[in-house]
Amino acid sequence: MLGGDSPARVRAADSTAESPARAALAEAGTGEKRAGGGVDGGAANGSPGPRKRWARIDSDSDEGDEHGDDSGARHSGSPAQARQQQPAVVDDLDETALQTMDVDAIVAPIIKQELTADLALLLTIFYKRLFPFKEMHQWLSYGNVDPNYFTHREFSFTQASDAYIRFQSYKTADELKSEILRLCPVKIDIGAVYNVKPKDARAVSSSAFVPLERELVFDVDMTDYDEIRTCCKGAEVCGKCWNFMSIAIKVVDRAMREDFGFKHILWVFSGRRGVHCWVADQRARKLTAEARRAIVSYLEVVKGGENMAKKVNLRGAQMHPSISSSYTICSKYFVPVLLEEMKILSTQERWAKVLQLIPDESIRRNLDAAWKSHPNATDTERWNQLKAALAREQKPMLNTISRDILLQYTYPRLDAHVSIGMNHLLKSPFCVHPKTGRVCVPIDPKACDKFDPSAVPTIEELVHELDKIPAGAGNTDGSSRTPDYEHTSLKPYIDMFKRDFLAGMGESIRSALRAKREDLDKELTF
Amino acid sequence: MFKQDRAAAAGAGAGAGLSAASAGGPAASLSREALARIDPQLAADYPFTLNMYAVPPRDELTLTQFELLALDRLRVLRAIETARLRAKSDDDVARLIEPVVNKHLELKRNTLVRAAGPQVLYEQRRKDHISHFILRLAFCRSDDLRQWFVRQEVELFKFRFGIEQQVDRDAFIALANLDLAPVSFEDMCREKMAAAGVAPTAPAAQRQELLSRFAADVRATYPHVVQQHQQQTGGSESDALRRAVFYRVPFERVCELVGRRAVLLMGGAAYVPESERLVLVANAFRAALSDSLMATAKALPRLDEEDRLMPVLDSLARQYLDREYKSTGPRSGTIRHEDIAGLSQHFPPCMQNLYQTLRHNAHLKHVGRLHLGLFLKGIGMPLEEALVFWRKAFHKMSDDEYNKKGYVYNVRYNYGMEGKRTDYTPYSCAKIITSMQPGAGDAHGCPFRHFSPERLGEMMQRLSVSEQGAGEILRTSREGHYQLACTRLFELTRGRVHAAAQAQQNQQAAGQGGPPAFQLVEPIEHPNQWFDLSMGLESGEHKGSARTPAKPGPAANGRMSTPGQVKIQTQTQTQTQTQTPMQTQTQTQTQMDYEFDDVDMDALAELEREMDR
Ligand code: SF4
Ligand SMILES: [Zn+2]
Repeated sequence: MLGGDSPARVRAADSTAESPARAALAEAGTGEKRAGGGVDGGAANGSPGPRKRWARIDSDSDEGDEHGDDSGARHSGSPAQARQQQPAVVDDLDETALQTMDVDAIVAPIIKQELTADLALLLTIFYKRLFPFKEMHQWLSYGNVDPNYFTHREFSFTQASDAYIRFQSYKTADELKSEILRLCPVKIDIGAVYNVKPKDARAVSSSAFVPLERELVFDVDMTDYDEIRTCCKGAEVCGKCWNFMSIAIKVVDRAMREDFGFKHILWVFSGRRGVHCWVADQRARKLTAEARRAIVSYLEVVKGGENMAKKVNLRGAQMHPSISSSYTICSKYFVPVLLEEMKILSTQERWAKVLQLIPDESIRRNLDAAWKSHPNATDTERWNQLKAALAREQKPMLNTISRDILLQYTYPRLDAHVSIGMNHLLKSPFCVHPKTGRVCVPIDPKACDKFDPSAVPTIEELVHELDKIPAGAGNTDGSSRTPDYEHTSLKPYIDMFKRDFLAGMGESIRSALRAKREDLDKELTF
Repeated sequence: MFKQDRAAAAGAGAGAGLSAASAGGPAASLSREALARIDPQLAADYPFTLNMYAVPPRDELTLTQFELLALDRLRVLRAIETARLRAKSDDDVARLIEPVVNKHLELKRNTLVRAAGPQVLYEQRRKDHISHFILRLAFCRSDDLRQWFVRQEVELFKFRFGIEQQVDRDAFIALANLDLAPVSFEDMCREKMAAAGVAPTAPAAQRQELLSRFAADVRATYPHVVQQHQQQTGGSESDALRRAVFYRVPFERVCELVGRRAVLLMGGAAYVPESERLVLVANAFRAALSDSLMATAKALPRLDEEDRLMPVLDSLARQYLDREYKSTGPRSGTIRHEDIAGLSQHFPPCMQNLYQTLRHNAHLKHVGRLHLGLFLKGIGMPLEEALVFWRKAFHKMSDDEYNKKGYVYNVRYNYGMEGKRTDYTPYSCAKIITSMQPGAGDAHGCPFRHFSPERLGEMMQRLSVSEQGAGEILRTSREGHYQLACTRLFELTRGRVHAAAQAQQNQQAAGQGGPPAFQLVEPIEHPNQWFDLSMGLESGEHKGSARTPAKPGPAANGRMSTPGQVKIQTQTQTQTQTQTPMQTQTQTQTQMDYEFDDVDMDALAELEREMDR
């Protein structure tokens, strides 16, 4: 049921991408877009017009769509499970529709398919002319040292109809490209490298199909910061809270390089409100689940769910060197961002959240009273008062509290499940986020403070730019000598991907090969 | 052939061991040469109480011997598992398991060779060796089994390492070929300079600055190492640092220490202090055992047709597996979605919290749904009812949205109707406490583990627990005894529910002169156990819940593996797993053996030991 022969799955594709009139539609589509007002600014300010389309298409996944929360069962499944998955989606719709006789449930998918046509159109153009298949293939082949590395890699796709296809695999970049053009997925996920080609997984028993390797990945999502940020909620992001992502990038990047000795680290914008990290060193790809868990817990400082107010509880006054390095990074942001911009101590409602982290009733009460009687004090003044009040106490237990508060308000919050599970999926770089239309572009960790999510090109802008390529400079089938992306604002990002990530990877692989050859030579001469 | 190698290696190891232990070995220590003089066979085959189990035994055993040995070891492993649940520190675990180990799998140390006689030592170690390999056969065949077995065996190994004498530890490590390269603080400083790109020729001030910061880092990472060295020899902190020995290993080899941030990491290398050497040894043990189990699993099918061993192995392994909760109670399949509100008073704190969050938010995140969903399945809610229950619970969501997010799929999945089609069982406390830590927005988890003290206090106030009781529970959970805290809460809250239960318990207790409070004998190990016990109190089946250790009650059927229940389990398995007539036959055979076991295993084992001598 899973393969390309599945009638259930092909249906959605038929109505859009496989349509014989696709080429004509593509023309019409870009034309219509120009009429619709063309390119607009940030996703957050959601101006009416083309943007609305994005919002409608994906309105179902307001919760953890990059997170896998509600697709938890899918994210750690076996191929056998996935085999069931495809029909399951269809079955469930029918079943519940019958149970409840709700007209909406029956009509909604139909409406949705109409909306999808537009998205599919843009995506088709995007995949055909802009998505860097060659570079992605180069990355995921890792120098072809192991010829199975690309072919045994899991890809999975989410289609606009919400159909979810797991355990796909391809021989070549071209095969991947033509399949993606056929399916026109709104999301591409990359999984692990398995011992068997994922496409052939159903031929073997589920216990004989195991993930062997995958990059060490991290997922940082802004929703995990909702309890501390005061500027936005949920899917929104602004320049203030994006600082949390900068902190996360700096802290994790440093630990990966200095503590763990990894070199090939790719940071990617998740398309809306988060960042992903791919650590691609050979050693990182070979880590066991246990080692991944250890790394996550080494990095983890903020712990606990809804029911745990104080989430940072480091033991003792001395910090592990890794944490003190992170603390140095975090402290740089605390005053300007948390106090001056977000003003976490400006109202009683806000400071109550901070004060509840102090395990001493009288200090809490005194500070609360002092701050109420001086409504004009700045947040920084209040923070200094808090620190002084804690330092005055001769109890070592209290002297570390301000440090813990600072960390609770700044330290990265990682999604542990994504990093630990080898067979967990993570969205591919250069995907388009279906709600914002923004491309998941790489972020330069050294310049992450300058990264502005609202300046990331959207698929609509890019397609628009393609239309403006002067005749002769490009070729619509992407076979021109200069690739089409060179003429769009995607260029600097793909260049960075090649320069900072692929080139370094290539160098490492080459020198590993050289070393191996020298070893062989030595053996031979002896 | 092997014996020779081993003997030679033992000799070499002893030399290395002596030099390493010269600092503070106990006066009564006995070198391997001395042991070899007393009993060369012992020194060759089993030079230590510790064993890497690298070589399988080649003894011939009767089937009965085979089982007896296996059961003894299984008792020990089971005790270790329970001890891990109850105790937090390694010392606590050691204290709890020591009597069980001594009873079923005692190993006398080399120093006792003259007092006890070398043949006793040899026999004990041989029994340990053989029983380990028997359980390997029984526990190699699935991931779950392998994991469980490895975890307990490693724990047993650590316990033995802890009580082994210093000379033998060192000799054992030398023999185990762990490839440990010791580095000094100076070596580390050199590596730090290289990592920071500071050349040895750099200005002194620059080097000085880097190194003094680095020394502070090392002190912060290993405060006890510095303290210990200072205590032993006095002198300054930097002197102490200079004397400390570290092992430089790839961080992957000491995941446990990395996870606890107990080691300094530099460029992918972990610097393990000598005091944490056990972690390295135990990890080598774990890795070797995991590999051999995989190898055994691959080799095992060849054994299949051969003899009667398979059913025996099956039933051994099942003692572990069947502790999973199965909803076989009288309510199975009869719980309707509208009953839940009324029944929720019988939910354990974790499930009550999930249920209330669900009621409050009309939503629950994925893991929460999984935990509560399987729990409800466990109390006897059939699939059709579960589908209605969850749809109603998510009442703020449109049908369209509900369908698209795959909630129906999730519910069906729990019931084995989707995906792997496994009939999933509800999560045990151990799983809830240790795996799937709640993140932001998550409501799942064990309140005793995952709530802040304030929230826990509030919860107990709502349940009107006395201040004294609440204090005790808070303390217990702070010490890491989450399930004991939960058990205590059950005793304090549910203990009041049924006056008759208490009265009866009081009577019993008064008769024995014990404390009059309502006390559970078994700690809470499973949320569904709480529910069953609580319901049992309500309907007057309290005899089963407030029971004496020997007699498991109806409320706990099919879950706990007290010896008395093995028979029941084997019966159900025979019914469901009948494949071939032959197998059924041998199965019954095994069942008989277990009835035997119930009578007096210890006496039998004793008898067997007698006969062997
Ligand atoms: S100990 Fe077990 S039953 Fe009790 S609250 Fe924790 S997980 Fe639930
Ligand atoms: Zn914001």
